[in-house]
Formats: sequence, C-alpha cells, structure tokens
Amino acid sequence: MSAVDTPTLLLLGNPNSGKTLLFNRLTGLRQKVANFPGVTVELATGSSSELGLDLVDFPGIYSLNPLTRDEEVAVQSLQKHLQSSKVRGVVCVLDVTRLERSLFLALQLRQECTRTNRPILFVLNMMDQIIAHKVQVNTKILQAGLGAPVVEVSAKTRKGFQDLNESLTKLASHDSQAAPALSGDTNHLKALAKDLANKAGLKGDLLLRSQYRIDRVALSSFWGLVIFCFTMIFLFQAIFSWSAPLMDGVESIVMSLAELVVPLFGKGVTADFVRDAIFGGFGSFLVFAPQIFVLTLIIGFLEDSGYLARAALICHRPLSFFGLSGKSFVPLLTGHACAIPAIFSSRNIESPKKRLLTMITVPLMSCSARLPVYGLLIAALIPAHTYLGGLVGLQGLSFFALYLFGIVTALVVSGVLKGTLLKKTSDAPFILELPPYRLPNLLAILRKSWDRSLTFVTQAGPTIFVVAVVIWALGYFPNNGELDQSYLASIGQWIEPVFKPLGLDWKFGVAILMSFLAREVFVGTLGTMLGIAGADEDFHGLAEQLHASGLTLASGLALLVFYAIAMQCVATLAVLRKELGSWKIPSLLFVSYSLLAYLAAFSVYTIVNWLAL
Amino acid sequence: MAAPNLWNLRENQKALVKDFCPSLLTQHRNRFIELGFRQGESVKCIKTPPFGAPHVFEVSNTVFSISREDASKIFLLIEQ
Repeated sequence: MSAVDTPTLLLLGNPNSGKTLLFNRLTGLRQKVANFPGVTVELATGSSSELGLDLVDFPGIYSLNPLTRDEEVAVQSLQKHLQSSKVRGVVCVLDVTRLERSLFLALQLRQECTRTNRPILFVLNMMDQIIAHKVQVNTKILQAGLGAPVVEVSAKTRKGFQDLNESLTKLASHDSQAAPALSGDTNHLKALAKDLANKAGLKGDLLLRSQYRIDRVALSSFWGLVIFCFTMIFLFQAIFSWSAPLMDGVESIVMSLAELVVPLFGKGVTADFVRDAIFGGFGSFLVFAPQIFVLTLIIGFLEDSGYLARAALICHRPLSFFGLSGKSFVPLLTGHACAIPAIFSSRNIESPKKRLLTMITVPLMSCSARLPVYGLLIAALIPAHTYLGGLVGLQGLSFFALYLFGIVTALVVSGVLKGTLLKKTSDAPFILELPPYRLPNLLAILRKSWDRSLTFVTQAGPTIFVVAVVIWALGYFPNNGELDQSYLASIGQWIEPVFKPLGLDWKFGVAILMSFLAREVFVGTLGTMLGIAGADEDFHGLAEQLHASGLTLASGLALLVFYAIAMQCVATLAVLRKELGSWKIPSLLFVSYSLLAYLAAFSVYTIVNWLAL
Repeated sequence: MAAPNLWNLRENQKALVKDFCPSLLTQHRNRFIELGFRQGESVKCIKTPPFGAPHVFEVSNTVFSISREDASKIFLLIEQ
C-alpha cells in the first residue's frame, strides 16, 4: 500500500478530554499536550505503524458551531477532510467525568458523519478516574443512544488500548457503516445529551469536590493573590537562575567546538568564516535555547496542573481594563519566551477584538531574543552591586525593570487602541472552563519543552544563520577583514545621522540595523564591529569593551528602551501576517513600534542627560 | 424589579436558568446553551473571587468562569 492510500482517521473531542495524549499514545508523535482549553492550535498528523493508519488530531472544540478561531480552523478542516476518500472515519473522544458536555459534540459529530456517510467511533477516555472513585458508566446505554460503537480507555494508564486498537482497525477498514440519521437543532441535541448522560453517566459532582477544595484557596482574596504572585516570581527566577548553568554549558560546548574545528581550516578567509560567522554568529543564538526550554517547562507544568486557567481567571479583570481578556494571559506569558507560539496561542480567545489586541501587544513582551541585548548592555552599564546579603542584585533589578517596562507599554498600547481605533470592533463573551487539577506527567512536559526549544532553533535558526553570514561578509569584504574599510562600515556611516541624536555612533547603527532581522544578532554584530573575535562566547569581554568604548549611561539606557519596544523580528511579522491574512497590520505595527521605540529612546537619552547636568 | 441574573448568585447558591438577555447575540446564546446553560437547567455558584474577577459556576457537571458582563445576561429563577 502506498503512503497516499494509507487510511486516515480524524480525532476530535472537547478541550481537556485527553484527546492529544491519546493521539500521542497511538502515534508516538511528539505533540503538544496540555491541560488548558485550546492548547492544540494547529492540526497534527501522525502515523500508527502498528495499525497501518494515519491519525489527524484536531484542536479541542465544544461544538461544530464555531465561536473561536481555534474552532473555526477545526470545523473548516473537518469539512474539508470529510471530502477526502482517504478519510475512513471519525474518532470522537469523550471525557467520561464530564459526559454531558462531551455528548453534545458527540451527537453533532454523529450528524455530520451520517451526512457524509462516514462511520464514527466513540472513545470514553479517563476511565482511570472513574475506577479510582469506584463508580461505573453504562457503556451499553451510551452505545444504543449514540448509534455507534463505544470503547472505554484511559490514555493516561493505557488501559483498554487492545480494544481500542481493534476498533480503530475496524473503523479504518471498509466494514464499518455510518450511524443512523439523527435530526435536531442545538436545543434538541443538548436535551438528548443530558438525557443520555443521566442514564449512563455519573450522578452528582463527585469528581468536582476535590477541585472545589483547592479552588477555595487558589481563588480566595488573600491566598489566591499570594499563590499567583509567588508563581510569577518563581517563573522569572527560573528563567534567569535555573537556565544560567544550562546556558553556560551550551556556551562551553560552542567554544570547545570552535577550538577544535577552526584550526582545521588553517588561516585565511575560510577559517575566518567558520570562526566568526558560524561559531561567533550562529553559536550566540544557540546559547538561548536552554532559556526557552526552562520557560516552557514551567509554563507546561502550570498548564498541565490546571493552574494556568485559574491564573487567567485572576488576571481577567485587570486585563479587561486595558481591552484584553483573562485568556490573553497565556499568550502574554508565553511571549516572554517567544512571540511566535504566543501569537498562535491567542487563537483560543473568542473575542476578535481582544484577540487582535493580544496579538498586537505580544511583541512588546521581553522575549528571549531580547535577553542577550539586555544582558550585554546591563553588564556594560549597571554595576554588579548586591543587597540583602546577595539576595537582590542591581543588575537583576534592571532586568526586572525592563520586563515591567515591556508589560506596562503593552497595557498602555492596548488601552489606547481599545478606546480609539478598535472601539467599534465586535466582542464575544468570556467563558473559561476550569479543568480539574491534575498531577502533571513530568516526562511529557520535559518532552514538550524539548520539542518547543527544538522548534525555536529550527524555525529561527536558518534566518539567524543567513544574517550571520551576510553580516560577516559585509564586514569582511572588500579588504579581507579590514572592518573600517568594509561595506558594513560604509552602510553604518551612511545611517549614522539617524542614531546620532541618541549619542550612538555608526557601529551601533549597523548593529541596530542588522538586528531588525533578529534581535539577538545585535550582540554578534557589535562584537564584530568592536573587533572582538568570538564576542558571543566572550560576553563579559564584549561588555568591558563596550564600557571602554565610551558608551554613556544615557545612550545605553536609550538603547535598552529602543530594544524593549522595537519590533525587530522578521519571523514574528511573518506569523502575524499568517494569522491576520494580510500585511497591513504587521506593516503598520512594524513602523509604529519602530517610531515609538525611537521616540522613547530619544526621550530617555534627553532626560538622563538633563538629570546628569 | 429586574430579574435575578447569574452574577447575582452567592457562593453555593443554586438556581435554574430562566432566559437570556434579548441583547445577547444568537451566536453567543447558542454557545451558552451548548455549554449547558439551557432553560430549566440547574446552575450553582461555586466561587466569587475578589476584585470583580469572573465568578465560577457549575453546570452539567462542568465548571466555568464567566465575566460579570456576560453572566449578567443570563436570567435565573432562584430556588427557594
């Protein structure tokens, strides 16, 4: 059988029904699994070699009447897939602990499958929780009511997988028939779902009681805020402290490799290229992958534990004051790692207005790519004084201030747009499901964090590499390493008048210009401009050189403010274009944020100089 | 006197869904129905977090948080 003819099954279900974990178990594919509604924002395809079929994992949806962008993507794609002859059937995953909610979608899917003459299989997931509470569910009643086979499984413990595999094989063959026709509108289907859940499912709120006990504390006026603040402090501490040894490790590996490889090329243009463009330019970018890993690890833990939905609830009121939603919290938080996944995750916001505002403000969060710039300038400008017995450092506080500055700027921008340009844009209700608290699976979170870090490297890597090579070539030619007489120097001197009002000479101008392709390029370019070979590996050396080059406090702070606001990331602009369907808003954002960044930097430069006088 | 709405429910208080505010868009009303807020359905307020944060409700064995703006558009029949 050729790959083209491989039978395909579509996997659908409510958010938090354990659908993606089931998909991972069946296909072994590394895919995002999380305990926060709407995490699967794109379709994922995987193959099961054991069963000889392909599976398509859809985003979690509540209904076939879409309200969010997530659901829109899922429903449009479902209809498209059901036209394909490769698609043999639909697998609908039901959360047995919240049966009524799951059954509504199940009945809608049955209607759709009957209409398109496709068989459907219902998978009752999370049976382990039912068993743990010593209660039962009547599968026979469900099977009769749904008019299609029902299989009991636990994706977590793999219980029931033998039956599931047999049912999937049968579904993928031509032996299965579509379920009998079922008519009815939303109200009728909801009544059917309730009736069926009452007859076959659980009675009472047995499984919700433990959730309520925790929520009584996690959402209380005092402890709720304490837990929230503690979680945020813990998150930022983890980004800076825990990732440091990992970053040092990657840096050492890059340096050791450079020492081993560069001598193999002898002396000349090739050796210079390998040392400065590959290890110097691209190597500096790799150093930041561990930071993304640690951040996604913590966010993954919060997602899977169920706390992230509570944090969104706590944040809703303050964020809505600025035109955002509690659901904006996850994208804004993720934006501190990378704007790209953050923009994708905003798909789960129902309100088009709040979704747009979230996407517009995400690039203002201090992402990992800004860290090297902040780190370099802070190391060069701010003394390493510590207080409270070394617990609080001036440099650490400066980092915190920059993060806060990004958040405040985002809120101000959102608040201004909410009341002006987007005043008449339509809104949608804020309804957020609070998933049960669950103990996260450490292995799954580690794998997810690894995958996200790898995605960051593979997606941003090629651009960074090209930029590193271009910069190196512009700085190296036409006089083989004579930077002062290079093409780069000519460009820098040409644009110097733009940066002169900020007290920055042409070398900084070149570094800023090149970092419009990717922020982290700034460090490598400046290293090249100041004549430090391998500046990226020798971070402190570059900071000292910067200090010695006469960079004033006013200019340094202006640069920091510029980088906190300016939208210097081609990949983010491309993702925004993809999400918004045109270049109009991304182009406007690029120009507006660049102008705002320049004006803010100029203001800071002027004020600091004035205060110094 | 205005009909009691979802936002008026105190913690642990139960009520039946009576109707929706006429200003609620059909698309949004359908979503509430799909999630379980059907006419005659029992709903319980689980938590009223501080500082105007969305309240937490249980309906059809599922827990949702709904903002003040939206909860006040669901009218209730308070059980005595």
